[in-house]
Formats: sequence, structure tokens, C-alpha cells
Amino acid sequence: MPIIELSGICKVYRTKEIETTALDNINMSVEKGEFVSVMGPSGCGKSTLLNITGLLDRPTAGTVRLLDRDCNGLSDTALSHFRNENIGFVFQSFHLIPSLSVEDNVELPLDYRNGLSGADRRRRVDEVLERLGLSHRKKHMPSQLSGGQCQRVAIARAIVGRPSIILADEPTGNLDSRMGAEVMDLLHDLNTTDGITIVMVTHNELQAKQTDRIVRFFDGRIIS
Amino acid sequence: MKKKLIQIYYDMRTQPVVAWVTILGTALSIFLIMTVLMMQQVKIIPFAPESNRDRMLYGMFFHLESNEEGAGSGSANLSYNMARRLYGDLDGVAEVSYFDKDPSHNDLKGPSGKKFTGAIRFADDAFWRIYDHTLLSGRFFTADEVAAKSRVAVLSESTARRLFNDASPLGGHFQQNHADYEVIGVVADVSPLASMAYGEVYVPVDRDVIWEMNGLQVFGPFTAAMLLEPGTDKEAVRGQVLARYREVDSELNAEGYRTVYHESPFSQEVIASGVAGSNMTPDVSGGRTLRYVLYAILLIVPAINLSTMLHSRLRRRVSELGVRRAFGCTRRRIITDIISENLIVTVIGGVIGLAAGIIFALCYDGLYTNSAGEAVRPALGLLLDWRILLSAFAACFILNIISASVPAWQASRLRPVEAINAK
Ligand SMILES: Nc1ncnc2c1ncn2[C@@H]1O[C@H](COP(=O)(O)OP(=O)(O)OP(=O)(O)O)[C@@H](O)[C@H]1O
Ligand SMILES: [Mg+2]
Repeated sequence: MPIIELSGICKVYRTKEIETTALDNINMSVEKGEFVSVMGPSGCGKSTLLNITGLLDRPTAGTVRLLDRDCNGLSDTALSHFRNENIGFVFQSFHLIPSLSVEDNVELPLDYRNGLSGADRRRRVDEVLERLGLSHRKKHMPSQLSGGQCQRVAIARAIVGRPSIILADEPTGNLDSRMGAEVMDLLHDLNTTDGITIVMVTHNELQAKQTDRIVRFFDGRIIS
Repeated sequence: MKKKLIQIYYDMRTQPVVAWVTILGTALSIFLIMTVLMMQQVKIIPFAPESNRDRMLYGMFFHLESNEEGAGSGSANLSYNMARRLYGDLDGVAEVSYFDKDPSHNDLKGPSGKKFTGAIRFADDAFWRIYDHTLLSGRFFTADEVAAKSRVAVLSESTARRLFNDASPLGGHFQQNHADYEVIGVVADVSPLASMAYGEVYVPVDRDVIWEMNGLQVFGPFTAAMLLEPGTDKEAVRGQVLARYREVDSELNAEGYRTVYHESPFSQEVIASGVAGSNMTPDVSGGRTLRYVLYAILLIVPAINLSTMLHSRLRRRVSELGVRRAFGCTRRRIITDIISENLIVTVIGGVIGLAAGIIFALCYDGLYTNSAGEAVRPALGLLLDWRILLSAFAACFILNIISASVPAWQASRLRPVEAINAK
């Protein structure tokens, strides 16, 4: 049973003058525990695919099934809860909240989860920060961190809620190769140790080759 | 809460102009509202010695017209007998005091040798039961003393000091309008804002004073001040009074007159609004509407302004809002978080505004007047009344809701993907 199952996904952006078909009848499934890379030239629809998979956007046509659940019919609130419990996002430009400290940034997903006491939340945050070697930075503000450190904080935020899926859109895109390698090691560790399913968009052939499978895109279609 | 404070602090550092304009704009708005509201509240909220303002009714005036065409009419306060006929022994009324609602300003002279003018309150024994003056020493005058027109007096503390210096005033004598009075009691000073209970010298009222009109003994200097039993319906009391009017009316008909009823007795709000007159029916609704319109303007105009400010604070945070949505924040939560965060800002501004309003009220003469229209400074304790503080908080809350709901709703409708990638 695949954990991610996309069938017949189309996404058409309509503006006044033009219609852009970003995704054209995509069928794709990802097994539980898989680490999949998505590659393709700029503008071919990789981010669009990831956003639809992450329930941040709705497809023009087609169905999204996650954890064996049809997500098309869910309300906005239900989608929010689903994302909160099952999906962790990692972005190319980190998207940490500048007004919050490292620990408060990491705690963010737990703020939106019911039934966790303040102590539980702080314990989970500490655990994750410890694991990613960020304990000594927890009172720092994002502006005081390097890019690599920021992305590690972002990964901590993505896993603190113990999701089964991580969606990473060019997580190493803004990092130098050494920092990038560090982040990749981290993702591999989460994949093998915790069994988290990861879908990652990348332009880096080498990084892609280290993953279980590469999905290649061209102009809104999967070509291999 | 802590995170919201951190966010506010962050906004103040990164967008100081917007943040300060927001806070000071709120402060100004609350300052204006509270200044208007306190001026009104002070006239209505109960405070010692008028601690029972919400249970008081005042029968003040009598109005009659001649049945003959063009033979004229008359209206004034009541004679003692007429006041008792209309307002004595009503059901649901615990106590009635018949007294002259307007203090006289007469010359005083005591052992200190100082000669000065003081506010003389002509009252009866029940007066001390419907108002709760703080008796510092001695006693109040009794029913017998009032009936006997005894020359005894209760002084306010500061008047006692002016008349007697440091000597004990009890048992001492002073002159009021060249008549000799004996001091039997001293009460704590009363704020002139308590316009019914206020006095510097209290002496027994002369019940025989009548202002005769064409042989009728209906007018005089009296007002009937009624303290209702708790829970008494004021309309029910008015119903009984109307029945008394009908009786009086049929008697007066024989003399060629008819009474005109003006929804007497009056509540504290009527007294406070300055709309009571001897020959008219008081209308508080006009003043009320005007006040509500004024409050609405004082809230809505700044709210529009604050709304723009909040909008611009949020524009900086679009990406953050998108990220929060991605990690599971619902639309409703976005709205409640923004509104509650904004409430904190509003309350900070509100506290500044309220403090400014209170300082202004204490320092600026002419905002508050007594019944004679003279400037009075209210006591701090009076302005810190819980009803006033609650109104200030309510004003903050309303200001917040009006100013924050549109930006918060807009923020909740942002599409997550576009929000995340904004700027
Ligand atoms: N909100 C939008 N409105 C209109 N067109 C859009 C929108 N978002 C994306 N597109 C278009 O859809 C296509 C796919 O965009 P997408 O961002 O998915 O590409 P990508 O593969 O992630 O590219 P890159 O590698 O540069 O990140 C592009 O042609 C883009 O211009
Ligand atoms: Mg992209």
C-alpha cells in the first residue's frame, strides 16, 4: 500500500491572458519508507507537485491519497489538521519565523496540535534539538545562524511533530556543498532510522543518485 | 501569550513607527472616549454617600394648568404636604427624605473668627438614611429635632475646621445667616459631584415653607428622595404615583386647575442628564443617542486607522502566515491569534490612554461641574471605579474587534503556497 498516491493530477494556472498547464495528468506513488528525488528543469512543475502532495494547494483535476486516505474531499480545517499530524515541510529558503527563537520556531507545529501539555512540547523540542546538535543554539534568533544551521532548525521543525512524510523543496539549494552534504546526511538518517518517507526536489544529480528513486519531470509530465 | 508579547516586541523594534502609531493612536482614542465616558459615569455611578443611586427615585416638581383659557399655569418644586401626598408611603419604597435639593449659599461665622460662605443643606432625619455619610463624631439630627426646627447642625470635616480651628466642634456654636446653631455632628467631606448629598453644613429643614400660588399650597422648596427596596420596579412606583396624581387632580379640578404629569419620579440618569425641568417631561433618549453616536465616532474613526496599521504590520508577515498554515494552523486559529495579539497591543494603548484620561480629569478644571455648574475636581478613587475600568477595557475590546477583524479575516484567506513564497 503506497503512502502517497497521485492519480491523474492536473494543475492549470489561469491568468487573464494565458493558461499555464503546470502538471499534466501525473500518476505517481511513493511507498512507505521510500526516499524519492524529483528532478527536472526549472518551471517544469516540481514545486507545484510537491505543494499538491503536501495539501497546500488543490489540483485542478485528479486525486491525492495520503496514508490511504482520500484527501480531495477534506475541508480546509481537516487539511490543516492532516498536514499538522502527517507532513513536515522543508523549504529552499528555510522560512524560519524571524521574530521567534530557534526553540520557538521548532515548537511551531506543536502549537497547533491538541492534547500536548507545555511540558510535553518542550521535552519534544529539546529532544529534536539535541538530536540535530542544536541544543546550544536554542535561544538564538534565526538571524544569528548560518544557512546550514537555519536549514537544520527547519528540519527540526519538520520532524518535531513526528510526521510520516517529509516534503523538501530544494533543501540544499541555498547551501554550499559542505552544508548541503550535512543536510543530506540528516535526511538519510531520518529516512533510515525513523522510516520517514521523503520526497525531495533537487537539481543536484549526485544527491539524487543517493536516494532510492529519481522521478524526472519535463514540462508537467513524468518522463522517467 | 509569551510568544505574542515577543512578537509585539519584535514588531516594535522592526517597525517602530507603525507600532508606536498603533499604540499611541489607541491611547488617544481611549483617552477621548474615557474623558467623555467618565464625565457621564460620574453622574450616574453610585459612590458614597450616594451609594444607592441605582435604587433612588426623585419626585421633584409639580405642574398645574388653569382650566380657564389663558389663565396661566404654574410649576415648581413641592410643598412638604404635597410631596408627602404624592410620594409618601409608596409600596416598594424603603425610605423617603423630603428636603431642598438645592443647597443655599449662606454666610458662616464661628469661633475661629473667619467669615465665609458655605453650602447649607436643609434636610430631614431620613436624609441620613438614604445617603451614607461617614459620621466622624457626634450624631445626625433626629425626627424630633426636624419637627421642632431645632437649631442644630452637622458640619463637614473641613467646614468644622474652618469654623472652629483645632478646637473640638461638638457642642460648639456658630452663626448661619446670623442665626445661632449648635454643632451635633461632623461628617467626612462629600464630593460636590454627589450633588444631592453634598453640603458643608447640614441643618433641619423648615417644613412649613410654602410658595403659595393663588391660594394653592402645592408649591414649596421640597423634593422627595426615595430609596427603593432592592428589586423594586421603578415603573411600578411611577404607576402608584400616577394614581396619586389622579386623586390630587380631581381635588384641584374643583378649584379650576388640572395637574400635568411628567413621568415623575425621576431616576438618577434623568437627574444627571440635566433634562429635568418643572414643566416638562424629561427625555434622556436624545442625550443617550447623542452619546452613543459620539462613542461610535470615537471608536470607529481610530479603528479604521488602526486597521490600516495592522494591515501593514501583517503584510510583513505574509510568508510567516503561510508557513504556519503549512504546519497545520487553521484559518480560525489565524484569526483568533491575530485578534488576541492585537488585543494586547490595544490594551497597552488603552492603559496609557486611560492613565492620561484620569490625569487630565484630575488636573484640568471645568470638565466636571456640580449641580450649580461650578467646576469640581473628582477624586482619584471615584475615577478608578470598577465600572469605569470595565468600560475602558470594553472600549479597548470593541476597538480591537473593529480594527482587527478585517485584516485578520484577510490574513486567514491567504492561499498557503502564495503566502509562503511572498517576498
Ligand atoms: N501561482 C501561479 N500562477 C501562475 N503560474 C504559476 C504559478 N505557480 C507556478 N506557475 C507556473 O507553473 C509552472 C511550474 O512551476 P513550478 O514552480 O512548479 O516549477 P519548478 O519545477 O518548481 O521550477 P523551479 O525549478 O524553478 O523551482 C511554471 O511555468 C510556473 O510559471
Ligand atoms: Mg520549484
